[in-house]
Amino acid sequence: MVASAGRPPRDPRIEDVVRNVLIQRDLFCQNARYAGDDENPRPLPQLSLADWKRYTEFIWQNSRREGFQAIPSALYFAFYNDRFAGEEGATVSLSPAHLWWLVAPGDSVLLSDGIVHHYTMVSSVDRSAERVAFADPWEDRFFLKEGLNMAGVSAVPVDGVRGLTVTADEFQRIIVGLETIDTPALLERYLDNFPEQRRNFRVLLELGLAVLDSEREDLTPIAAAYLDQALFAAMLAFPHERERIAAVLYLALNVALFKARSSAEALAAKPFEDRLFRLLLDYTEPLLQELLSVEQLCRMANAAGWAKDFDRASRLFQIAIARQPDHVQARHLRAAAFFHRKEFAAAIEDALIALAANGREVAQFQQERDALDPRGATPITMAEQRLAGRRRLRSDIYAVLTASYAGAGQWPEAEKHAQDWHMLKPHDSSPLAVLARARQMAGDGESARQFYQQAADLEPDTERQQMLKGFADEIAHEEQDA
Amino acid sequence: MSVEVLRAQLTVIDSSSDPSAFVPTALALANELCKQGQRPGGFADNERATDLLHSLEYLVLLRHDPDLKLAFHKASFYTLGDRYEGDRELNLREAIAHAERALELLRAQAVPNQEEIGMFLNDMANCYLRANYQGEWPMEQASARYRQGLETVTPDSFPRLHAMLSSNLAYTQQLLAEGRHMLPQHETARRFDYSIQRAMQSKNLNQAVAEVWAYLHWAWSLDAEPNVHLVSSYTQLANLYAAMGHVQQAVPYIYSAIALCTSAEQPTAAWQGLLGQAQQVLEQILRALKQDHKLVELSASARGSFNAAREAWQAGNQFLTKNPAQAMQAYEHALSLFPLWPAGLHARGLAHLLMGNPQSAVEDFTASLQFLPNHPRTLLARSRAHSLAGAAELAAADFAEARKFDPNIPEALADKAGSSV
Repeated sequence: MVASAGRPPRDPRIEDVVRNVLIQRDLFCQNARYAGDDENPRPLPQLSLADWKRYTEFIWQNSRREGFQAIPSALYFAFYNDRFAGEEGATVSLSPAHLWWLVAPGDSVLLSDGIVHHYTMVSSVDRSAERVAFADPWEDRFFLKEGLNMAGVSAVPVDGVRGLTVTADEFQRIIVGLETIDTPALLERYLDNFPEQRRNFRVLLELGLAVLDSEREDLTPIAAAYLDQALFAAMLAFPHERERIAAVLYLALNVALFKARSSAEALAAKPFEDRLFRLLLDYTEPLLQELLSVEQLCRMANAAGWAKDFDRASRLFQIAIARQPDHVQARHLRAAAFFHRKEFAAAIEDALIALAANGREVAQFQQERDALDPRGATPITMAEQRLAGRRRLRSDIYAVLTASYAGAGQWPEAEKHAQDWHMLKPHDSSPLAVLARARQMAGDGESARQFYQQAADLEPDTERQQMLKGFADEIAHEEQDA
Repeated sequence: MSVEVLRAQLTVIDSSSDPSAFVPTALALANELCKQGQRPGGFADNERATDLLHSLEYLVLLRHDPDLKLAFHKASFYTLGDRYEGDRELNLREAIAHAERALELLRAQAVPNQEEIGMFLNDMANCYLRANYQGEWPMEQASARYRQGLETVTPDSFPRLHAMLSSNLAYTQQLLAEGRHMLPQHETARRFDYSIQRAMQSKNLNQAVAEVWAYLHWAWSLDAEPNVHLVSSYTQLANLYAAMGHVQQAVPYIYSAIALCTSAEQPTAAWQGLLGQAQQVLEQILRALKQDHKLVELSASARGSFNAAREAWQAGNQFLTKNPAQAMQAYEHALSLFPLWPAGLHARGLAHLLMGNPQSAVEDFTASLQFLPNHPRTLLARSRAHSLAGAAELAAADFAEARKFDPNIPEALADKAGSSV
C-alpha cells in the first residue's frame, strides 16, 4: 500500500540548503567519471548509511561553525528499510511505505535490486503523481532503467522533471535506506502521522538514539523524550531490553542535566533531576553504567566537566578507564579534569597515556588511508577526516599535558612537549606561548620574547594577540632596563 | 502570578510524577521571564526563559497534548523573538520556526480561534520586520503574514484587528514600494541597549561609551525631538562618564537628559520613568562632586529648557538670512539653554558663516557633527566654511563625504559649497 500524503515542508532555510546542494551536484557531477569505466576498475569500498550520515553531519557542523549556514537544530537522519538490518544506535528502521512518506528532495538514497547497490540523490518528489526523481550523475546507465535491473523497475523521464523517475511502488521495492536533513521536529511529525508507532518501543528507541548519535548535546532533551517514551512503550518487553533503554535514557538525562546546570536558569535542570531520581528508583546506577559503552561514559563525564562537577567527571572516567585502560578520550578528558582540580601529577600521567594511545591510533589510521585506492575521492576524504580528528585530539592532549607540566613547575618537560606540539601545529599560537613561558622561566628572555612575538603574529583573536604582544613588549622593556 | 510565586510552586512540584502541573506552571514562568526581559537591560531574564524552554521541550514531547505544544511553541516564539544574546538574526529565524509550528497547531484546533490566529499572524509579521536583512525578504514575508491575517478575520467580526492588520500591511507595502527596509525604532533601540549592556557586563567601559555614542547618534537622526532614546542615551553617557571618574564631564549630559525629558509634549509613564532615572544619576553626580546643595537649582534650570531653546532657535531662523547678527543672539541664547544640540550648533555655525567667521563656523559644525555625524547638510556647510578659511583640501573632503551620504547634492555645488545650506 502506498501512503499518498508525504512529509510536510521543512523549515524554509533547509529547503534553501537543499536547493543549493542540488545545484552544486549538477555543477560538480557534470564531468564525474564512472568508476566502472576505468581500465582496471577497483572494487568500490563498502559505505554504510550510518557512515555516510556521520560524514555529511560532520561537514554540516563544520560549515555551521564556519558560519556558512545557520540552522542550529538541523541534523541528518538515516532511515533503513526494515527488511534490512539497520545500524544500531545510528539509524532508524521503518517500513518501505514510511520511507516513501519520508523521502524528500536532496535526500541521499541507497537503492538496490539485490545485485546492484547504488547511492544517489533525490531531486524531486511528486506526491500527487506518486513519482520520485533522482539526480544521478550517470543517467544514461542508471541501473533502474528498464532492463538494467532485477527488480522490474523502469525509470523514465517525465516532462518538466529533472532526472529519471520511478513510481512510489517501484521506490518501495528498491529502497534500502535514505539519509535526510531536517530538524528534530521531523520525528514528531512522523509520529503524528503514524501514531501507532508511539507504541513501538524499538522505533522510539531508535529515534532517541539517532538524535543522540548526532553528538549534539543541545539536542539531548529531545533524545531523552523519545527514549523515555520508548521505556514506557517497552512495559511488556524483556527485562534486558528495558534495561538497555533505561541505560541510554540515563545517559541522555545526565547530559541534558549537566548542560542545564551550566545555564542561566536554575529550574532548567529540574525536569532531568526529577526524572533521574525516579529512574534510579527502578534501576541501580552501577547497572545502568555497566550497560553504557566507554564512549558513552566519556560523553557523560565530559558533560559533568562543563557543569564543573569534576568529582563526578573523574568518577565516570574512572569507570571508563577501568574497562579500557588506554582509551584515548577517557584518559585525555580525565587529565583535563585532574588539571582543573590542580592535581597535576595525575593529569600528567593520564595525558601521557592518552598521547601514546593516540600515537598508535594516528599510525593505524594513516595506514588505512594509505591503503586506499587513489581514485576513490570520497573514501579518501572520509579517511582523512578521521585522521584529522585524531590529530586535533593529539593537539588537545598536548595542551593539557604542557599546562599540567607548567602547573607542576616542570618547565623543561613542558618545553619538550610544546616543541612536539609546535611541530604538529606550526600555525597555532598556543604551543609557542608555552615555549615562550618555558624559555622565560629558564632565564632566556630574548628567545621568550621571540616566541611571544611569533605567537602574537599567528593569533587570530585580537584580545589574545594584544596579550601576547604585551608579554613580548614587557620582556623587551625588562631587557632594556637591565 | 509573579516570578517568585511561580518559582516557589515549581520547586515543590515533581515534574516526573506530575508533569501536568509542572509544565503549564513552567510555561507561565517562561512567559513572565520573557515579559521581564523586555524591560530595558532585562536581557538576563530572557536568557532564563530561553534556558527553561529548552529543558521544557523534553516534558512537552512526552505529552501528546496539542494545546501544550501550542503553548510551548508560542512561548518559544515570543522568547526567541526578544532574544538578543548570540546571533540576533538567527534568534529571529528560530522564533519564526516556532511560530510556524504554533500556527499549524492553532489552525488544527477543533474550533480555530480566528481572532487569536489573526493576532498571531500580526505578531509573526512584526517579527519578520525586526530582521536586519538587506533586501526585500523581511517585508515580503511580513506582507504575506498580514495578508493571511486579513484573510482570517473579517472587518465585521474583528474591526480593530482588521484595521491594525490593514494599516500594518499598507505601511509595509509602502516600504516595499520605496525599496527601503528600516528596522523598527524599538528594535534598533533594543539592539543598542543590548550592546551597551554587554560591554558593561564585560567591564569594558570604553566600549560601552562608544556604544552609547552610537545610540545617541541614531537618536538624533530620528525625526521626533525630543525622543526617549535621546534621554536614555544622555543619561547613560552621564552615568558612564561618572563611573569612569570623569564626574565633571558627566554634568552637561545629565542636564541634557533632564532638559529633554521635561520638554516632552505628552509625557507618558515611560518619560516619567526616564526622568526618575536621570534625577537619580544627577544626585549621584552632585554627591560625587560634593555639590548636593545644587541639586534643586540645576534640576530646575534644566526643566523644559530644550523647549525654550527650540523656541529661541526658531526665532533665530526667522532672521538668519536677513539679519545674521540678530539670529546669532537667538542661537546663543538657545545654546545657553541646551548646549549639546546638533541643530542649534549647526544653526549658529551658519550664522558665523554668514557673518564672515568661517573658523568659528567650522568649530560649531564640527561640534554638531559630534552628535549627528554624517549629516550631509552639516558636512556641506563645513565644506563651505573650510573653503572660505582657505582649507581647500578639507573642504573637498567634506564635500565628498556629504555627497556620499546624499548623492542628490549636485556636483556643481563643489565650488560654492555651503551657499545653499
